[in-house]
Amino acid sequence: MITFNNLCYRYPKGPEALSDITAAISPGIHLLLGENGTGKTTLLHIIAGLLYPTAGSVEIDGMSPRLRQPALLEKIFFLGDDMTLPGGTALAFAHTAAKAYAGFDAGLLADYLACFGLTGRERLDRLSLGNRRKSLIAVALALRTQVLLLDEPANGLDIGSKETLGRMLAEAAGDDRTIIVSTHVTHDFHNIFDGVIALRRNRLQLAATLTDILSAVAFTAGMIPPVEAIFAHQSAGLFRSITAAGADTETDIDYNLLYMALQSDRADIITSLINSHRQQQL
Amino acid sequence: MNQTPDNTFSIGRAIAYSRMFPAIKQHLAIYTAGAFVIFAAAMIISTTAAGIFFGSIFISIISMAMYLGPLVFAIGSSPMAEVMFPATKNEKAAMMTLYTFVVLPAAILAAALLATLFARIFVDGASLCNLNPTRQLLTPPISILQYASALLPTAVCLLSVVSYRRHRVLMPIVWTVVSLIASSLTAGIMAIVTVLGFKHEFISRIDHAVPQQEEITRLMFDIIMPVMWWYVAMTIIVTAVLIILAVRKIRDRQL
Repeated sequence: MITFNNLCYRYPKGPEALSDITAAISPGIHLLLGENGTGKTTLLHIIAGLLYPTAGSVEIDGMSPRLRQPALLEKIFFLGDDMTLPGGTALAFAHTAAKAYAGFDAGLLADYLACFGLTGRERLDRLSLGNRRKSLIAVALALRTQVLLLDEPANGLDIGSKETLGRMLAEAAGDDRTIIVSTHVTHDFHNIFDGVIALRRNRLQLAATLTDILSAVAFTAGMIPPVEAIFAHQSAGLFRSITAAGADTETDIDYNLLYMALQSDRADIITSLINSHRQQQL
Repeated sequence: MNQTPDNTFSIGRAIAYSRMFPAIKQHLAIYTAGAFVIFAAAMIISTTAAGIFFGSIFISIISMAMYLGPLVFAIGSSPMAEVMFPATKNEKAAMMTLYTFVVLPAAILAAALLATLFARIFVDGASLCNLNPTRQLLTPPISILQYASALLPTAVCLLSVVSYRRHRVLMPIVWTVVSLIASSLTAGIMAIVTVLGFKHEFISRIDHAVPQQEEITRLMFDIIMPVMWWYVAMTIIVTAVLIILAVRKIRDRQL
């Protein structure tokens, strides 16, 4: 369980990147949404202990990443957008990581690399962006850390590899694993997420499970927007709308629509609906 | 079942952390072999007419290499992976500082001692005793002076390596050179001020009407040496502050 308590972060001599974040994130795969520069990467850095909060705190199973204790560090791995690995190859880093990360599985690494058509002996600096990402993703997943933080993992991946990644993530999820994926490419990972964390203007807009969201709101599409629509967006001749969910409504989540709604002036209505529904269930 | 690692200091984890710097093994091997070759060449050449000149150049190369030793932590490494590596802050700081200030200088000194033994094959012991740089390195106060003055630019280099997020090789080189120029200027100014200040004492202590070169050198040494100790003390204090800052930066580096 990852818990944020009034978490704030301000860059040295810079603007506030995160403001008063309070939430509890349960194990599962979570989609981290937010517009550019809203603090998504900063939040992942703070969870990984790469940055220290300027106020408030973050805890993983009661331990603070700020202390950078081995007992916690071996449970976390962050894969950044522009990250490199020491050693030059996936296998060289894996050799080092094997001694430090108790959960590391060399067989799994070989399998993941093979899925992407790689051996792990390729020099990362000589690979294309997509193949470098594939190598890094394979290493990150094979470490089998309890908390895995992925920042734009699909960047540079071809269509087939995005599907492969989605499958790998779904297989990697476990009862005690928390995977947070920050991405703007939601349709490739449509069915894998258990929850959504949304940031807006450096504040937490929403942190809810998929069950909470779908039991509070419904996502519909039609030629005419429903009268009761809380938010509607027209594209390709269709009105995609968010309405309050009825007692027997069953719809699939539309992440792009949810994202647009959470960035609009209707955001507060939608989040309060989801939050009040969750509290009723509790 | 995997055992949860405890958070007390572990030498094994500190050594494992060193593997995050892929160039470290080659670095140590190249430095040791390079130091051996350069010291041996310096000692053999130092017995010839142009020996002092070339010997000094060779020793300067070794010194410069030692000052820039911490660059090994910037080459081919990944600051993010380093910070996330499951080792305590103290283990990370201990590994980097011990390698920089103990392991590397010790390897260079060991190479110098071996080079001395090797040079004896080619040069007779008596000439070597007067000229060999190993003897200078091991003889106080020269050894203390040299080690102390070598630590300052090395500490500057280490602090720069762990402080910069970009240009992690270029900026440490720039700051190391700046620190060398600054410390040389300080030492030079202190020496000039001392000689000028003690000019009358200097003249009064010369017995001969036409002073011998050795006597002048000895008198200058006598006058300048106490001031040089102040310089060493000052260098040690500045170096200690820089090392503390570097350790703090390694422990709480944010990216």
